[in-house]
Amino acid sequence: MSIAKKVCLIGRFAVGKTSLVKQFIHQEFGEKYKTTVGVSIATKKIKLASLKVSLVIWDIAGFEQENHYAHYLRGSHGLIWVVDGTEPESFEILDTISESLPEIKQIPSVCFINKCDLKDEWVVTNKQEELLKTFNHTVFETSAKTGENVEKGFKKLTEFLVK
Amino acid sequence: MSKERDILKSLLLKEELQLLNQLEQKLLSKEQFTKEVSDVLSNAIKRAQSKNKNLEKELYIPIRKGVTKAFVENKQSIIDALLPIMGQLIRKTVTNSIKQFVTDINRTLELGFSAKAIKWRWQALRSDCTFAEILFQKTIRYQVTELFLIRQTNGLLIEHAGHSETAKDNSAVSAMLTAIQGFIEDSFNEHDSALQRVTIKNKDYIVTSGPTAYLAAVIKGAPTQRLETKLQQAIENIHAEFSDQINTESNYGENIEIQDSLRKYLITKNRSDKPKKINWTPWIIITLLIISGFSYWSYGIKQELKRIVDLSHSVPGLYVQSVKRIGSGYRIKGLLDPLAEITSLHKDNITLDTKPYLSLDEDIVLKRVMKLFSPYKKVTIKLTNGKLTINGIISSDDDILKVLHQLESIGGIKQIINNLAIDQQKQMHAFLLQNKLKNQVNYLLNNNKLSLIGNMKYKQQQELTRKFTSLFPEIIIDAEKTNIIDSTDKIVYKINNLFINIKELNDPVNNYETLDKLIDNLHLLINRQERLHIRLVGKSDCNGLFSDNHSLKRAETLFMILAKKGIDKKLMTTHINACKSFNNPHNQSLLGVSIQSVKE
Ligand SMILES: Nc1nc2c(ncn2[C@@H]2O[C@H](COP(=O)(O)OP(=O)(O)OP(=O)(O)O)[C@@H](O)[C@H]2O)c(=O)[nH]1
Ligand SMILES: [Mg+2]
Repeated sequence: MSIAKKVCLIGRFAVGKTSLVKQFIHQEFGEKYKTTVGVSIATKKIKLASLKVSLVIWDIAGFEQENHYAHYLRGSHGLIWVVDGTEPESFEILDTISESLPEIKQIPSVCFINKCDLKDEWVVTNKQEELLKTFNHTVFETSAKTGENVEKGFKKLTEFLVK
Repeated sequence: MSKERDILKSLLLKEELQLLNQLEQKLLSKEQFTKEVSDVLSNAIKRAQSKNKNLEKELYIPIRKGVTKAFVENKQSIIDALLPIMGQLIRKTVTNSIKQFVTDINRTLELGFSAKAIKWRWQALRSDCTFAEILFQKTIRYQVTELFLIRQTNGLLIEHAGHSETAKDNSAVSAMLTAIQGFIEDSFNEHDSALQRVTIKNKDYIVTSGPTAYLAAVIKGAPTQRLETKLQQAIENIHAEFSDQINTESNYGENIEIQDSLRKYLITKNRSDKPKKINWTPWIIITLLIISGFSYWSYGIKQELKRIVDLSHSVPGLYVQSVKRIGSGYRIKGLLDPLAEITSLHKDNITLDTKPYLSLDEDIVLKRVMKLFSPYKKVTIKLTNGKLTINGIISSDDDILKVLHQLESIGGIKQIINNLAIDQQKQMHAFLLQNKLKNQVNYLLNNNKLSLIGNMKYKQQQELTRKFTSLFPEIIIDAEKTNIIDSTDKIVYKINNLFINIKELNDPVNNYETLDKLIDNLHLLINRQERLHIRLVGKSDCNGLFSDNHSLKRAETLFMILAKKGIDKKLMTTHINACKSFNNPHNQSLLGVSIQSVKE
């Protein structure tokens, strides 16, 4: 048996959303930054203990203005909030997003603090991390470059979705 | 004997007999029995229905018969009751039928009397084919090869029918269609502006919407109005028939019935579908016309040939060598640029016998350039008399270089006026990212002025300014908010100039300020992960015989103080500046320790 679930990645531009999806699906990483236009869609099957879940992943272009988000998020089963550990503004933008669409805090979600391979350049404070935990089930420190915690994070979210 | 037995019976079983009697009456008297059953009938049906799924089946035939009879016998009252619903239904059906009718009439007219049809009839006559064959070669055929039933809200696939490469693609296609739909609604800000047709990866999709799901059909060939109506009906039927399944989130591949139902709409419209449509009357009239107008026609042929020659010369990117009449059509020989727009030649039964070449017609050159710039949405292009003007914004320098380089290989451009600007916000971001300064400094870009906010080494700042101004010469760098921090060499130099005055060994430090400076700077170096070695050199005024001993003690005292302040003992060694003679004048300011830090 298999279930289909829609999952969206949201966050500021250049935080690594597309890279995370690429790492998750193809185990690949590229240094070059090519910004996403609109949305890019990928699918992947995940096996949990007793069932298969088919994830339809919506990699939405980095948040700049609130205009385009609502439509893409419609009917989403789960969310991945992505921030860039080395970029303070990527944290602030999460507030902007959740203020403009308050209902999305109800959707099961995990948060990826990305680029953990650059840990010595991180600017994450404990307070920020606590804040992320208030509306996410789990917070992961990920790296699209080394693949650290990427699969684990996607899997965890999937578990929340089928509970 | 039997009488006694009766008496005995009545004595023993008096009440039971009475009860039996009553029951007998109830069952035997029809009226009484009817009354009893009517009391429980509705409850009985209710229960039977929930227990026995076959009840509906059993009731279906008598009810159908009854309803039919009621229709036959009470036509008028039933008509009266249905009128309000029927009115609407009929109106809708009639509108659709009229639309269909008009399309059909148009097509028949077009085929029956157009020059094209006459030509085809003539072609049929000459080529020994039936007109029907020619007609269907030329007219519309289509096939519905795949159907996607997709949930409106989240774009997940409910069911799919038809042949497709992989199930994985199907989910992605469904999501993509939904994203496009969202995008369109968003962009036009109206509800009517729903997606109707779209081409993704060379497949044409027709989209029809229902309340909870929509249907996307992959079409090969050219679809007709009728097909759209059919698809609209399909989505309505599916909603009516499977409302339960559609309304609960189920899983793709599990609704066999929906799949079956979808499969019915995988329509193939092929040649033999419409043989009845041939209308023989115009056929005969036209044959007569052709015979009677033969001489006029041969004159017409010459005129037509001239027209075709003119037409072919007017197509940019087509270099014509010869035009010949072949059968009822024409063959153009020559050279053809792959970008040439030749649809205007399609309608006149023209075949092209061409070899590819690169045309320098301005139209074609422009097309080639536009193709090159198609990934850059914010760029506009103008080409007049070989002069190419490029305006707009592009995301990086690399991209500009890339396209300019590619432009060189496109012939037909004499001059390029490049007004491209770089999308600076992104560029800046990428630049700071690349130079690994993201956390150290923040930036603020305002009116061509870049303020760098944060800590930087002098060298770093110089380097950055140099690189930056070479990339963006028009931007001025403002260092007012940049805090220049010392380089490692400078710190080492500063440390080496410090002298910690220690007069009395039991009250060691009397110049805290210098000591703090020393400790701060040492920490700075250690934090920068510089490998270093610190020599603590004790000094004295060489006034007494124990001067050297005291010098060593001073060095060791400072050693302990620094160790307490967190400087790793392994990094430090103690030394003395030995006295040459021991009767120099007493001088307190010479008592102390000097530091020699060495970068390893
Ligand atoms: N070192 C490092 N670099 C990363 C990591 N993830 C992404 N990057 C880099 O960050 C840049 C942006 O990555 P993208 O994945 O394109 O970012 P995005 O969030 O999809 O950006 P938009 O599509 O514009 O919203 C690229 O240059 C990546 O190579 C990571 O985990 N570590
Ligand atoms: Mg992206």
